[in-house]
Parts: sequence; C-alpha cells; structure tokens
Amino acid sequence: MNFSIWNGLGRLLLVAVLYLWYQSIFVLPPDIHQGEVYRIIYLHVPAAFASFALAFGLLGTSLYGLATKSPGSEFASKAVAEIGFLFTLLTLVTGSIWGKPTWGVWWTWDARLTTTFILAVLYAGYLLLWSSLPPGLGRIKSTGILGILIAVDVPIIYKSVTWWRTLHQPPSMMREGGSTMAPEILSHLIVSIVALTLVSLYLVWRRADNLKTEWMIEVKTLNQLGA
Amino acid sequence: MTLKIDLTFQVRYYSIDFEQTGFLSIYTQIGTLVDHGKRSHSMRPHDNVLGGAVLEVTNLSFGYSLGRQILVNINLSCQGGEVVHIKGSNGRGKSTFIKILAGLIRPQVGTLSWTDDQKVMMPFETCEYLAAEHNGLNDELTAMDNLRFWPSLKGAQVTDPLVLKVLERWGLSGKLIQSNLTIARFSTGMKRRLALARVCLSNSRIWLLDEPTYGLDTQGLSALKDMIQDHKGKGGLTLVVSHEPGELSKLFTNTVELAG
Amino acid sequence: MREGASTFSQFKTIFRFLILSELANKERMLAPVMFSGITLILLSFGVGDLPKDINLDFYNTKLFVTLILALSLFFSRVFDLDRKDGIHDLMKTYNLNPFSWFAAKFALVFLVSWSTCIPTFVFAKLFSGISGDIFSNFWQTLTILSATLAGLTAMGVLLSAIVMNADSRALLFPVLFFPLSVPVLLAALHCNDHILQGRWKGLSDGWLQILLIFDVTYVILGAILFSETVEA
Repeated sequence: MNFSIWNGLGRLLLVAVLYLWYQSIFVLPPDIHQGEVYRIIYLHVPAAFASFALAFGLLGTSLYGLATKSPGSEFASKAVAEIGFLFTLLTLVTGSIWGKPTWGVWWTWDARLTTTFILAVLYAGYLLLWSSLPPGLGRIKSTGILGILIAVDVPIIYKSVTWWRTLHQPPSMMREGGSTMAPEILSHLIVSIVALTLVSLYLVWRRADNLKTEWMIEVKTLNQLGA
Repeated sequence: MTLKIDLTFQVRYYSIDFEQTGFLSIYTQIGTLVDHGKRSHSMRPHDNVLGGAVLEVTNLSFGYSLGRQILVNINLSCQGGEVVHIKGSNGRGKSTFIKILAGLIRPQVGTLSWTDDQKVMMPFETCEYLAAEHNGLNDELTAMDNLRFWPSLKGAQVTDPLVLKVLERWGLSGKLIQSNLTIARFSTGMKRRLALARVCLSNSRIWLLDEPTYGLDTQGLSALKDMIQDHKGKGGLTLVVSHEPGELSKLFTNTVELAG
Repeated sequence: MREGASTFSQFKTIFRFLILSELANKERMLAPVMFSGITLILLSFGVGDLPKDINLDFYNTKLFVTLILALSLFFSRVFDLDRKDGIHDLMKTYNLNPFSWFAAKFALVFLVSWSTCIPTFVFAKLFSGISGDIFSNFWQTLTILSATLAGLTAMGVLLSAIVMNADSRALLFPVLFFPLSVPVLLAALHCNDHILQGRWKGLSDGWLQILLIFDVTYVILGAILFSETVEA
C-alpha cells in the first residue's frame, strides 16, 4: 500500500480508536447501577450512530449517482452499504451482549434494536440487488433508487416502531438520556461516536477504492484478451 | 421552418483510461446531454405526406461497460427518401447501433441530430423501431388489440378499417386471425408480419428495422418490399440491418459497413 | 415535456392495454387470493382457539400480515408483461412521458389489488369468528384499506421496476418489499384496531397520519424516480 497523507490519517484514526477503547475498558470508572458491563456502550452506541449515519450517506451517494450517472458513485454506494451492514451487525451483537446481563434476555423488541435489525435487512437487500444486476447504467439507476427508498423509509420505520413499543410496553429499562449520565462518561461517549463515525468513513473510502481497482483489473484483463 | 435537434453525448461512461489511477478521477466523468431543440413544440403527428427527414450521426462511439469498444467514430448522414443498408459481420455492433438510434442505449461520445422541416421533431419521436429478436407483441391478446395499442401510444388516430386494411396487406385477413386468436397461436412468420404491420401503421418518418426479413416467406418479403418502397416514396427514411437482404437490396440507396 | 391532453391520452392507452392484458388470463388473479386463503387457514390452525380479547388482536395481525404477503405475490409480477417479447424496450423507444406510464401502472395495480384485498378481508373475518358483520364500519375500513393499498402499490411498482432486470427477481422482491413495508403494517394494524374498539378518531389519529405520510412520500418518489428506470 502506498503511503499517502490519507493513509497516514487513517492509521492515526485507528490508533486513536484503540486508545479510546483502552480508556473505556481500563481507565474510566464502572457505572454505579450496571457495573463493568456498561462499558460496551462505548462500542454499541457509536456503531449504532455510524450505521444510521451511513444510511444517509447512502442517500447522498445514490442521489449523486442518479444525478451524474457516474460509475464511481456505484462503488461508493456499494462500499457504504457494505460498511453499513457491518456496523448494523456490530450494533446488534453488542446490543445482545449488553442486553443479556442488563435485561436478562439476549433479544428484546426494543424500538432501536428493531429499527437496526430492519436496517441490517435493508442493507443486505441492497447488496443482494447490487450483485444480481449486470454492471452498467441500469445498475446505477436501480440501486440508486433503492438507496433513496431505504434512506427515506428509515425515519418512518423508526417513528412507527418507537410508537408501537411505547404503546405496548412500559418505557424501556434502558435510559440513554444525557441527564442520567455522568459528565465524564458522556464526553467520552461523544468522542467515541465521532471517532467511530470517522473510522466508518475511512473504511468506506478504502473499500470504494478497492472496488474500483477490482473493476479496473477486470476491464484491463478483458481488454488484453481482446474480448 | 426548420427545427434541428442535436444530442451531443459526452458521457465517457466507464472510461477505459487507466493512466488516471487517482480515486477521484473516476468521479469526474462528464455526463452531459446537450439538447439544442426546444421541447415545447406542439405535436402534429402523422400527416399523410411525410416531410424530409434527416438523420446525422457524428463521431459516435460505444462500448459495453466491460470489454472492447464496439462502435468507434461512426459517421452517417442520410436524407428522407433514402433506404440505408447497415451491414457487417456478427458482433460488429449493428444491433447496438440501431438501438442507439432508437434511443434505447446511450452512446458514450458523439452527436445524434435529427432535422425536420415540419416542426414535429423530438429526439427519437419519429423513429419506429423493430428489434431483431422481439416483435413487441403481447401474446395473450389478439392481433387487433396489439395493433390498436402501439399507434395510439404515439397519438395517431387508428380506426379499425385502417388496421384491417394493413392486416389485409400482410396476408393476415380473416376474422379468426384478427380478433379471435391470441398471438400465442401465431407462427414465427405471422408474428413478424404483425410486427411489420405495426411499423406500417405508425407512419413514423424514420424506420429502424433490425433483420425485418426474419421468418418471412416470399409473399411476406414482397409485402415488406412494397412497404419500404411506399415509405421511400413518401419521403421517409428507412434503415435496415440485414444479412440477407435479397430482393430488398434493389431498394437500397446507401450502405454503411460496420467494420468494428 | 408534452401537453396535458397528450399525457392523458398516453395514460389512457397504456391503462387500456394493461387492463386487457390483465383480463386475458383471469386465473392468474386467483393465485394471490388462494394464497391468502391458505395462509389464513394455516395461521388459524396453528394458533387454535383464543380468548376473546386476544382473538381480536390476532385477527388484526392475521388480516394485515396475510394481506402484505399476498400483495407481494401480486406486485412481484407487475412488470411481467413488459418483459414479454421486448414490449418494455419498444415502449422506451416511444419516448413516453414517464409520469403517464407510472400513473397507468399505479392505477392498474391499485385497482386489481382490490381483487386480493377484499377476499382476504372477508376470509379473515369469517375464519376468526369476530362478531359483527362484514359491512360494519364500512367507510372507516375502506379508508384504511385504500390508504394501505395506495402506499404499498406505489412502493411495489417502483420496486418491481427496479428488480425487473435482476437475476433472482422472485427472491429479491419480497426481501426488499417486507422490511420497507413495516411502517404500513404497523400503522394499518393500529388504525384497524382503533376502528374495532370504537376509538376511531379520523385524521387526528397519529397512526393514520403515518400511513398517509407513507402514501404521499411513496407516490411522489414513485412518480419522480420511475422516469429513471425507463430512460436510456
């Protein structure tokens, strides 16, 4: 891999995230109510934030793709969806791990978890559609439209699911309100959110570059074969 | 009054330019569709006398996203009243070329321009396209239903007697064939005749026929010849892709060979 | 792009052609109905007899889940006609107004989906032993069902246009359709629940608002984005 400023920044980011995790696990004090297990929120909450932020990233790349029909937008969209899928999975897994000691169950139909789950399915559906279409203008359009549909639907899904839970269940045990959190925990959480979101963007960028290189090798080979 | 419509394609779609390896270079592709024509003209379609239609193609290039360029720098200029034969061996992009003219595929580079002295032109509007492998027929409906659909989609007034007349000309007369039998029961040749009858009914100025002779018998071939002759006489332009033009070759006024 | 009359006449022509094609094979329309009947029977067998208050909830769930399943079956073949014999490509060369094309598809699918919706509704009511005849709360129920169908239809048409050229359409369509229709399912369920319990508040009901927001969003998105799928 060539060393460039961007790569350097990326590595710096990874180091920063590792440092933040070290802080979360060993340095910060345990929570009064939840004890040590609460530390997983430094991974869970940022991952959740990043996966929802990437849904809007997908909206951006999709709109860009439909407006310009640029092939590059295709790779960017695919990369966003892949990293988004990864982060939704991360959110679901960490949510379950956190849920077991806190709620006593691995899974509960919490509004946020449910929405994340649906988002994961939608990312997977996007990737399925992407891979089952032949490359070209048609794929840019089809996946672009789906990207917009997903991004527009996510807020509606979130609204309806939240409402559905509040009607059927007493308010969730989990209270993530800033007021109940110690200030040092809150500030650390915010830094973690920013850091992991930047990491997700870095990963998207690397992955898109990767996809582009893959495609170029394919075309070049075909050209050499004279196909 | 002359209305001219130019479509200039500069879409370097999937540009095969490997020297620029920067990530952002692929984002800076230009995709402009320059349209000099005004799009708000009132439509006056299907006059009985067709005006002189001119199609001009300049520097047209196209290649599918993976693989070599199929069409490189194609130039073509033709007038109304011409019958142009497009030929070339297999895989030279004849069908692709005619699809680009019909507006189904967007070329990467080049200019397509239609000029017409009757102010009814819109890009692709005056073209009637016949695909090589498809007839555009719904096989669950009858011949009459299919033939009523396509011309009226272009805003033409299609009366039943007119449709019957055209069907008669193509040897598809008889109540049973016209409105009792679904297309699924038709033979290959009969379907082709029906598709050609559709082209005939449309009264478009430019006909783009991809392998029109496919499946036709001698009677059908002579009907096709008459049909193109008629169109030529009215000042229409016909582009024919055909490997074995046979009798049709007497009509050709111009030949384009795609060498690839 | 075109004058209004021309757009409307295109709409009429396409709509007429679609209706004719739909009616050409009436048996095809039976498939979603049979499907919903069977699904309802299986669900009822699987759960058995329930206490009255739970039975009402279950009836509701059964009705709308079955409806969405059956409709997805119907929506997934919206573009089957276009795939036939190059009809879609030929229509593309006609430089149609994409809006009239979308409107014709939408109108047809919306109308024909009632042929799935009404039997599902009747079956669900009959099989659940819910008191009250089928025509009780007629107008409220009609409103909910129309709002449900409108949003789902717009989304279904757009989605099936997207997956039209994909390799595994039959698999892809439900995978994309079900998660996207979650808000509709929840909203329709709650609206119907309010009707059955006599707590119908009309437009001030938040769930009906969600349903209508979904409808408006998807009809607008469909009208705008459909043009992308039909242009070269």
